[in-house]
Amino acid sequence: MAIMGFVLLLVLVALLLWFVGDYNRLVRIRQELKSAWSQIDVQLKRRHDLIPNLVESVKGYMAHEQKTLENVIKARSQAVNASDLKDKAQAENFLTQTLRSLFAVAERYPDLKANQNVIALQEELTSTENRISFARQFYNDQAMRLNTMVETVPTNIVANMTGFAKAEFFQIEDPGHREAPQVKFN
Amino acid sequence: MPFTHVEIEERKTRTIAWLFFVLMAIYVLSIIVLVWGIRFWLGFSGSLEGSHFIGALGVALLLALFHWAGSTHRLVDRVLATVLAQPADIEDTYHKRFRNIVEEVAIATGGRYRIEPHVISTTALNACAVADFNGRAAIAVTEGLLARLNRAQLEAVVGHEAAHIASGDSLGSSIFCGLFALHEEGLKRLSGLFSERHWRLRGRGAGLVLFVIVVLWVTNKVKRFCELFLSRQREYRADAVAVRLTRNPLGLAEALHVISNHWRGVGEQGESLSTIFIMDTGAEPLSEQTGLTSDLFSTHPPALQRIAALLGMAHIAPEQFSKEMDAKQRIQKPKQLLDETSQPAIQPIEDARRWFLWNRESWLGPFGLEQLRSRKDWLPENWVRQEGKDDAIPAHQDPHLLQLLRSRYGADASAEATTARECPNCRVSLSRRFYEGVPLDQCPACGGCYIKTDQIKRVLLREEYAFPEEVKRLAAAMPMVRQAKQIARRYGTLPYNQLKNRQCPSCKSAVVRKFYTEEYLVEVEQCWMCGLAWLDRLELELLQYLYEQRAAERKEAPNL
Repeated sequence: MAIMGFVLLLVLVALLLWFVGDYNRLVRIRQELKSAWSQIDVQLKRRHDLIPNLVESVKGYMAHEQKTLENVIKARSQAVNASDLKDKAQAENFLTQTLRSLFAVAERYPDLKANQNVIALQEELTSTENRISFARQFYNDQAMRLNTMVETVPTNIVANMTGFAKAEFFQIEDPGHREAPQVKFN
Repeated sequence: MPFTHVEIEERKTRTIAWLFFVLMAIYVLSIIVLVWGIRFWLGFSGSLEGSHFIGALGVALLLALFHWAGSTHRLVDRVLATVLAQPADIEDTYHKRFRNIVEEVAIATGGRYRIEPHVISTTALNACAVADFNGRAAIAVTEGLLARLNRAQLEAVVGHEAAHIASGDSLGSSIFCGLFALHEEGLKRLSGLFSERHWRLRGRGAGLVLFVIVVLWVTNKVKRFCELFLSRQREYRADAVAVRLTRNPLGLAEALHVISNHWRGVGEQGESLSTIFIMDTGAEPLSEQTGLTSDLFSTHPPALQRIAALLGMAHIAPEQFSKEMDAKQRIQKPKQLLDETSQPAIQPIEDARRWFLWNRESWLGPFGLEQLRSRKDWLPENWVRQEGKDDAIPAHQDPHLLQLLRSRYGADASAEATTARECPNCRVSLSRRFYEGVPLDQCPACGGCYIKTDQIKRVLLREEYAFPEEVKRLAAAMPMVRQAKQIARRYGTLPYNQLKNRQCPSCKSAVVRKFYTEEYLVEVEQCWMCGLAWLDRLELELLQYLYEQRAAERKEAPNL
């Protein structure tokens, strides 16, 4: 009888330890998700701050490209004002596209391409784009881990009991990204 | 791919624990053997008694502890100093790009690490990572790497190094290098005793020293084998993690291809640190063998295998890859001349004096200030003579004319900004410009520029611009290297002379006029102390052109 009690106690302790361990892992992932999200936010803000400078320095060279510039400014203000995750993703994708077309147009102006200020800004923007995509990649990786844990046995039991929900992915809705990848050497 | 960041973290703890255990075992064993030897020498014989054993162990642990504290103190700084790495320059555009890439990759790791970007000033292509127990980490790449790799390739290399940091490899290597430095140092010192022609040690003393040397040597070899074995496995893993971070296997494959086809050495000091670099730093061709022996004797796995693994991830056939890489030519952008200046708007200046202008043949004029200013052939170093006076002076020596010249060049719109320095010949304020990503102070009038010596090296390596015809003509007229070598042999050194009335604008030391090097006979006026150099118009391009010519010649005759 005493042995049975002891075994029962052991099983209970093991269960408790397992519960605590899983719960702590879930909490850790949620924290990382939060910090990844704030990282994305920081980088998006950085991009929003860079754009007025860029527009200001290319304006003088690109008098005939008012429409492109206006598009960029419009896309920026949309992105700044977006509130929920889906709107935000959409607005940011639009901004990325308008910036891309701006740089495509800029290729036609040799003076502009030689301007050190513009070169520096372009480098900063490229870097910010990369940071955003890396931060998003990390966020999505963590979201996937959390979702897997919330859905698979046995961690789903812990997650359900403590109220962990699935995380939303930061989606890319740029049709260009859906196409088959092309290999380029450059 | 099995590596999530959490798995890396878990594995890291396990690996380091293992490593630590093995290391401590080797360390303690070596100390015990040494104690036993000394005891034997002192006249005791027989097996170790318990008290002696414990004493030896105590000595070993105490030594290890002290040594540990010593070797981990400022570890990152010391390793970086050994490979001669400097923090990345904020102003240089190539360095700026590198800084950005390091930050991007740090974000891809979840922002857990603050990685310091450093640059090693050498033409070789290589990269390394260091980390210590305080959470400090640094990635150092060579100037050559910055010049030769594009953004995606550089990002892949940084990803590889960040993977080493994230998975604790850098920490492990640092421990290895740090902990066994005492053994290596001791070995070096003691073998020094035997390298003299007459042995200074005889009898039993010599026997003891020999014994100590043998123990140290064996310990060193065992440690080296452990290190090499681990190092090889880690490179594949770091490649895989790098791909996971940057999602660009092709970029890393390209980078490895480029690095393996260039010089990778980072000096004698770097040789012993070979394991922390992305590719073997040795002078020999890369070891491409596989099997147990090469696992034990070389620091890095064969480059071809690493590239093949990466190409597998990118779904590209190796034949297609090497064909594309061979066919790839560097794209040369249209030349933007260093001395392009635009004429600013002219403002009227009141001054009744009239000047004659010497145009190498005769006196022209007299001109009023306004006329003088609009003449394109009037430069600061031209001689002028005031109407009604006999003595001629260079234009910049008259304060009014100098002011006029300064206003003429000061409003130059194409420059970034004017700087506090002035041209040593024209006295005009220099303007800040960028050439090949390097910031330099250039005279808007004569086209000469101030540039630091290490920055000249960077310019030589980079290839953004094509050369104008004039540079090619100048290069053809250069004195032969053979002649210069003859002169150098006769006088012991190449001629140089001190410029009497010149001073370095940055440290106020003396300035000498000399040739850049024996190989590249371009005259530079260089500060004796800080190395800030003044190069006349087109001399920088000329130097760069000669350097590239020499590199092309060497490529055609690789056996020389």
